[in-house]
Amino acid sequence: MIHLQQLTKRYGDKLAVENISFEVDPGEVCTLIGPSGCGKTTTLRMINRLIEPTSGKITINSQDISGIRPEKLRQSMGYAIQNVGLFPHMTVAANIAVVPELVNWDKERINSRIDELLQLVNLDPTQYRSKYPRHLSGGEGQRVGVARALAADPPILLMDEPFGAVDPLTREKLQTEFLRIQRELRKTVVLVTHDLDEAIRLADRIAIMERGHLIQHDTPENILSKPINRFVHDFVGTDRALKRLSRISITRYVRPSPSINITATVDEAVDVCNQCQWVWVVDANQKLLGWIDRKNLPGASSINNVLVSNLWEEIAVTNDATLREALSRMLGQGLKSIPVVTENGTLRGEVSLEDIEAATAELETNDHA
Amino acid sequence: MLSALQRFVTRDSVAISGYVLGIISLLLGWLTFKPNRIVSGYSLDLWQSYEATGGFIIIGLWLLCILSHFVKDKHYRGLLSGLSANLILIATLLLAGFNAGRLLEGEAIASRISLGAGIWLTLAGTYIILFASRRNLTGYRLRQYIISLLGIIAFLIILSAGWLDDLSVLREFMVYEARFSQEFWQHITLFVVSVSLGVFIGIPLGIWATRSRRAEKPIFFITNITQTIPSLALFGLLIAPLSVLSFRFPFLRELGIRGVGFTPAIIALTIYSLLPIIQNTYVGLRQLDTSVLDAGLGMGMSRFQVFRKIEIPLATPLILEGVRIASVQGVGLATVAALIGAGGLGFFVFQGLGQATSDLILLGAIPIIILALVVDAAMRITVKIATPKGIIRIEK
Repeated sequence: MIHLQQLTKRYGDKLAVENISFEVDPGEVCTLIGPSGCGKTTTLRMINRLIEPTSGKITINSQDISGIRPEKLRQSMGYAIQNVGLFPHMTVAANIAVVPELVNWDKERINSRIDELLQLVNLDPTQYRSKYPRHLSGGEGQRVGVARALAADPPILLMDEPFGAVDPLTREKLQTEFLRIQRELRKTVVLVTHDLDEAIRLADRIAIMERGHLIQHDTPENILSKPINRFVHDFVGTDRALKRLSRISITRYVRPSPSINITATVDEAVDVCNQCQWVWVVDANQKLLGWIDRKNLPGASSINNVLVSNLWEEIAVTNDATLREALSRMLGQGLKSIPVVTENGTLRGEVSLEDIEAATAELETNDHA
Repeated sequence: MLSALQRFVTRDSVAISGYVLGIISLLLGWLTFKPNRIVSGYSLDLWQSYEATGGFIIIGLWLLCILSHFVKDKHYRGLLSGLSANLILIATLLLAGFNAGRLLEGEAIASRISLGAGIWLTLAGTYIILFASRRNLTGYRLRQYIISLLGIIAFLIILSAGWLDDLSVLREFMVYEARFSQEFWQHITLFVVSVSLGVFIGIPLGIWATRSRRAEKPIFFITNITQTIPSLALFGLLIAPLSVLSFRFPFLRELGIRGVGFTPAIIALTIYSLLPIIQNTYVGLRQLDTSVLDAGLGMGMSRFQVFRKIEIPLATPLILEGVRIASVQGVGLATVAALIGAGGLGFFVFQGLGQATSDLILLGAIPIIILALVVDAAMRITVKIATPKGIIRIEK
C-alpha cells in the first residue's frame, strides 16, 4: 500500500536518510525503530510530506504522493505524535473534529463520530467531550490524540512515539488498547518508536534503522531469531529469548486444571489433590479465590483454613496475555504454574513453567529447520 | 504576647508599610493655608485641620484598620482591612472638603486651602493596604472589585457633589474648566490614536519577526534603540525633518503635518508604543509548543489555517498584554506632548511648573494618574475576556 523507493534525504552535507526502500502492506503495522538520530522520524515525516525527500519517491496505492497536494495527502492520513499536540484552546470534541471539519463533514456526522471515537478509546463521551486538554491525564491525552488521528477514518495512520510520554503502566495499557482497536479497524500503520518491546508487541513487521540506513525489515520473530548483522544482534539484546516469548499468546498453552469449590470438604480436596501438589479454589461462580497446598491438607478442619487466598489479579493472567507476561508472573509470585482467568476472574485453566520451556524448545527447533 | 507580635509582623507584611505611612501621616500637616495661589503658605496639623471630632474619626479608623490585622481568618482580615482603608479614604477627603470651607470663611477671596503631606501620605498608605487586602480575597472576585472600586466611586460622588469645591485644585479647575475638558479629550485622543497605530504597525511587524530570521534582528534593533531615546529628545528630533517636509510639500501642511503640534506627537508616541507590542507579539507566537503546530500541519491544515486557528488564538493574551503596557505607558508619555504644542493634560503640568503653582500641576497630574489606572484596569479585563478558555490565565 505504502511503497518507499530509494528514498534519500540530505541536509547540506549531512545524510539523514539514505536510499531506503520498503513496503507497508494494507492493514499492516510497521514500526520504524533505531537509536535516536537514525532517521526514523524523518522517514515518517516524508510519508506525509512534512519533509520532502531529496531523491526517491513514495507511492500510495501506486500513486506518487509528490503529485498530491500536501494538505489533502495529510488529511487522508491520521497523525499522532509523542507530545500529543492537542490544541489547548479547544475542547476534546473540537480537537477530534479538526480533520472532519477540514474535509467538510456535516455537523451531525461529526458529532456522532466524536462519540463513537471516544467510546473506541475507552473515554466516556458525556464526561470528556467538553473537557480541555489541560484537564486530561497523560494517558487520557494520548487516547484523545489517537481518537483525533482516527477522526476522518483515514486508511493510513502515522504515529511518532504515540505512547512515549506516559508512565510504563499506562503505556502497556495503551498498547493493549491499540492492538484491540487495530484488530477491529485494520488500518495501515507506520509507527516510530525507540522502545524495542513496544515494537515487538505491536508490529507485524519491524524496520530497524541505523544512521540513515535501513538495516533489516522483517517480522519481529525473524528479527529476534535471525538478526541480520552485529548491529541488529546487539540492538535486540541478550534477552531476545525472553522478547520472543512476548510474541506468543498463551491461548495455545492453556490447559484445563483441577479446581475445587470453596464449599467442598477436606476429604473431597484430598481426592482431587492426589494427582497434584496444589489445586485452585473457586467460588460458586467459578471465580478464582486462591489455592491450597496438598501437604497442608491433613488435619485441616476446612478448606477455608488452609486457603492461600490472593486477589486473582496478583497470581493469574488473563486469556489475552503473552507467554512473557505469564513467565514474569510466575517468577514474581514464585509459582511453577499460574491460573488463567477471563477478564472478570473466572478460572479458565492454567499455564505451567514446563509449557513455556516446551514453547522455547519449539522455537529453537524452528530456527534450525 | 511575643508570638502575637510575630504573627502580626509576618502576615501580610505589605500592609504593615501601609500602617506605618498612616501613622506618620498623622504627625504631618494635613491642610495648607495659602493667602494666594503662588505663595507656599503654612501648614495646619490634623487637629487644626479637622478639629477634634475629625481628628478622632481619622485616628479611630486607623486603629480599626490596624486591629483588623489581628483577625485570624485570612478572608475576614482582607475584608475588614479593605473596608476600613476605604473608610479612611472617604473620611479624609470628605473632612478635607468640609474643613476647607470652614477655614476659608471670612478670609480673603484669593486665599486657598490645599492638601498637605499628611493627606497625600494617607492616600498612599490606604492604597497599599487595599492592594494587600485584595490578595487576601483571591477567589472572591466580586469582593475584590468592591474593595478596589468603593473608594474611587465614593471619590467621584464626593467630587461631583461639589463637596471638594473649596480645595485649591478645584479652584484652579473652575478657572480652567473649559480648557480642562478640551485638554482631557485631547490627551485621550493622543494616546488612543498612537496606541491604535502602534497596534496596526506593531502586530504585523511582530509576526514578521517570527517568520523571517532576516527581519527579526533589524526590527528589534530599531525598536530597542528608539526606546532608549528620552521622550523629550524624540519630540525635539522630529521637529526639524517634519518642518522641512511640510515646507517642501504644501499638501502635507494641509493634512496637518507640521514640525510642531499633533502630528509629531502622534509619531513619537506611536514609536514608543511599538516595542511592547512587537515584543509581546513575538514572544506570544514564539513560546507556542511546537508539537501543537506540528500536529496542526500534520493533520492537513494549511499554514494559514494553523496561523489563524491555532497560533493567533493562543498568542492573543500575550499580544493584548503588550497593548496594555503600551496604553498605560502612552497615557504617561502623552503628557510630554504638551511641550511641542500638541496639548493634552500635560498643558496644566507645564503651565503649573512655569507659574510655580503646585495646584495647577496637580490639576494635570491627578487626572493622568486616574486615567492610567482606569486604562490599566480596562485592559486587564479585556485580556481576561480574550483569553481562550482552555489556556491557563496569566495572573499577575
